[in-house]
Amino acid sequence: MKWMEKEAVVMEPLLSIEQLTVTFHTPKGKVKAVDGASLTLHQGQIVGLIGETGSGKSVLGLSIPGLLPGTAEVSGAIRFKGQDLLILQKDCLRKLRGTEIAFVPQNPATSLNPVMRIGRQITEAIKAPFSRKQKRAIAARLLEELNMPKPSDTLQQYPFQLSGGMKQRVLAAIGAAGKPSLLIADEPTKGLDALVRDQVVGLIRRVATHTGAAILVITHDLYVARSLCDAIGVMYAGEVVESGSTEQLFAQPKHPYTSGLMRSMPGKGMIPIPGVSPSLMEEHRGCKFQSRCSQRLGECEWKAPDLYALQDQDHKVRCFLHDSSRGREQGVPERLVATAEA
Amino acid sequence: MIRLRLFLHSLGPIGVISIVILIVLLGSSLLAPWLAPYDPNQIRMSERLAPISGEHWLGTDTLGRDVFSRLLYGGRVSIMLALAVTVATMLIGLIIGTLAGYFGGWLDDVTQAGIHIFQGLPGLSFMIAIAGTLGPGVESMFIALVVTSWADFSRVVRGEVMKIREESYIEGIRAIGGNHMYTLIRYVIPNMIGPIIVLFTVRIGRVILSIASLSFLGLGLQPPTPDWGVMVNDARPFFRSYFHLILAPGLCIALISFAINCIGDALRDALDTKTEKAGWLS
Amino acid sequence: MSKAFQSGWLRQRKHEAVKHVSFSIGKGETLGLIGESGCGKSTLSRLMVKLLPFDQGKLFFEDTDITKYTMKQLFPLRTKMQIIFQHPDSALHPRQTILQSLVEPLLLHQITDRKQAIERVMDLLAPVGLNEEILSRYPHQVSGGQIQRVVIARALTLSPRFIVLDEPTSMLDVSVQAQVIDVLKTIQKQFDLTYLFISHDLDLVAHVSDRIAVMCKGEIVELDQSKKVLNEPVHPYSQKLVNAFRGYQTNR
Repeated sequence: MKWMEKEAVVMEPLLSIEQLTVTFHTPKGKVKAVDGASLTLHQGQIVGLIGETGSGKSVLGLSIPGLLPGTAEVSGAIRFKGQDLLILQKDCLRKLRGTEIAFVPQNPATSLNPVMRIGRQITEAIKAPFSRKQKRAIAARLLEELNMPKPSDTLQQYPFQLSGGMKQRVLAAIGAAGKPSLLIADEPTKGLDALVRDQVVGLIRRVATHTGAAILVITHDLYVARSLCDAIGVMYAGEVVESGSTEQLFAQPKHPYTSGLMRSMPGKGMIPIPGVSPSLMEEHRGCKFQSRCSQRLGECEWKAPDLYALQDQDHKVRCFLHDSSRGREQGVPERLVATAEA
Repeated sequence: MIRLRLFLHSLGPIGVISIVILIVLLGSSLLAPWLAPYDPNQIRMSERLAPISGEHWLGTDTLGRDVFSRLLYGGRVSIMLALAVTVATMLIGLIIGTLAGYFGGWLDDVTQAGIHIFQGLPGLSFMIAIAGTLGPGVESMFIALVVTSWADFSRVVRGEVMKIREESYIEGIRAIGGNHMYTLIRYVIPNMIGPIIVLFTVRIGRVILSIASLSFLGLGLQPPTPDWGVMVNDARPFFRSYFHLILAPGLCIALISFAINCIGDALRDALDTKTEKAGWLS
Repeated sequence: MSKAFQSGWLRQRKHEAVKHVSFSIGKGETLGLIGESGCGKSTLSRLMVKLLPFDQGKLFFEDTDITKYTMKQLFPLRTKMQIIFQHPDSALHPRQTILQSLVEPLLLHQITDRKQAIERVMDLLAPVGLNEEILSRYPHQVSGGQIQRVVIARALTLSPRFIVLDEPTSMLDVSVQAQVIDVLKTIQKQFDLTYLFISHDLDLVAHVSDRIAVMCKGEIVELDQSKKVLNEPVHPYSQKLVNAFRGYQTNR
């Protein structure tokens, strides 16, 4: 089994983001929201992108279907099924957006057209050449699969007649209706309490099993990421600082930020990371996490670390502590190594 | 000085142009006694309907009065009256709207009913009816205008207050011990300043138009008062051959309400505290 | 000395948000309150600091029956009980600087003059983890975590005895949440405070509270030591809540 998975990895990922940088020009100066971020998604995988407010995760999510405002300056590459979305013609991208890539926006309350019946909003997203009746049947089935109580009644209703959780399901149905191969969900659980959150997590999982789509879940909720995702990318100040399988990441977080984040969870002792995230407006020298890092090395101040692969090739960390090419043992600070050698 | 520059910057080009237009129009009205080359009411039948010339920059009207001089004087009454009407409307609207929006309940129900009734009435016809009943003149125009416009104002203020009432800082100050009066004056009203200023400018523009309409219909300012609305009416019989007679005051009315409206729009954007633009406020 | 709160029957538009609720909070204790959104926790929190009137029941604060207190009688009491809300983006007057917001309670209660008020505020900055820089800023120029610290400091200016914390960190990121909770725990010891801590995050409530009350549809269905509620919930609703939470953390 193991070798088969490896084979799939070699086969070429569905989506690979390479060195993506997104800069906004504001009256106060440049804001580098995403700074050289890389991420890979395979067919049928659920990948979580976690990070805190201002870490650039939502901007990264919006940049994949090309939904950033025109003022954003984007560089790097977003390869989807072999073609680079950043250099793709606008109408080709638009066509992809309806069929291959679906984006489920953050706010269910304002993301539906208030004057259009639910049925129409879902059937509009079905691109296949079916009759109206067939499309409605598909829409009803979608809602049924998403545990909507009365799917055929819902199709006749307007958004204001639905509760927040129901709207969330409708949005998910719209996302899934086009049978996309990639679904991006931006903060699907924001502001929901535990029981409803549980439902949304189940909902996304069902969308995955029913459509076979790869799903990118953007969230700040570590619980959601943990219970839902196969793999996770951790963002900090515009960079992906660590990525790997969910088990690896939660069992053995390697980056000092990731482990700090884990420790600050209520169930894990709530030990805060000192300090605040750096401003995205300033030019940075060295590692962006250094000022809050307890394991800082000398070179962190002037040199920015790369994303280093650990022995397990899928697990990557942007931290000198795990740079195997330096020939030092993982996790041992430079100073200690230096004294040991002396 | 820095604050003024910040302010102008935040208004944008259209806002600045509008301010210049407004200053020119207001300034010339204010300084009319010194700027006007002739007495605006001096009748010279010998020079009736004189064409545009170096002597009479905009010619003379049907009674031989200098049009340029009349134009300079023509804004004074309208603008002063518009200001008075708007201030009065605003005070009434602010008090009613704030109380209704903040306390809600039966008070709100009663005022809402009143607002609906007044909003349902056709504005201009109602205004004409009032001004007609009370007889033409400044006072009746004042009453007619205030009566027809307080409801709009209250409704907007009420909506704004209801929005602010839901913010947690209101509950916060109540929990700290601020009473209703304190909360209203220190918390609710300051946070509506933006919309109020905008509403004020928009209103003033509209009131100027209404005054011009009433005067044009003969229900407002009476001839021989030099007034833009009156002038448009006076020039009506001759507008085919002496188009400038109607164009000049008409343009003044259009320009001033256009400028005030643009300033209102620009202020609305500039007053949005969430944007960095509002730095001049602090 | 203990604080006893008994309240019942709140009818709001014929909808009973809180029904027959009785409990007390001991001095220096943190009582956690959990439940789904819409279960009445927020209404209860506002009843307890007399921000809402209630229909039936009694409310005791420091052995005094304050149920029928008028606004005037309540005014001096306002210094002793405080409430901190969920949303940092609307917690402070948007047109006041942080300093203005911080000195306001002292000036409103005429406890000190302006100069002393500023001194008191300065003394409180360190315990909540802020520095002077922030004082001249406006709320929109300050991050959510910092706003919550400011709100905490503002409550502290009046030397309260009891603070209701209505989901004070639910809008914050995990690492910032941990920082703010840290502040709350430190000042509780330093100023001898009593908390009512409301949240829907079970782990969080368990972390900060001595006892936990579980609320469902306006009623308190279980009230016991934190560990007991978390590990051996008795009421079926508590069990459902705990299981959902546990399942959601681990099930894969």
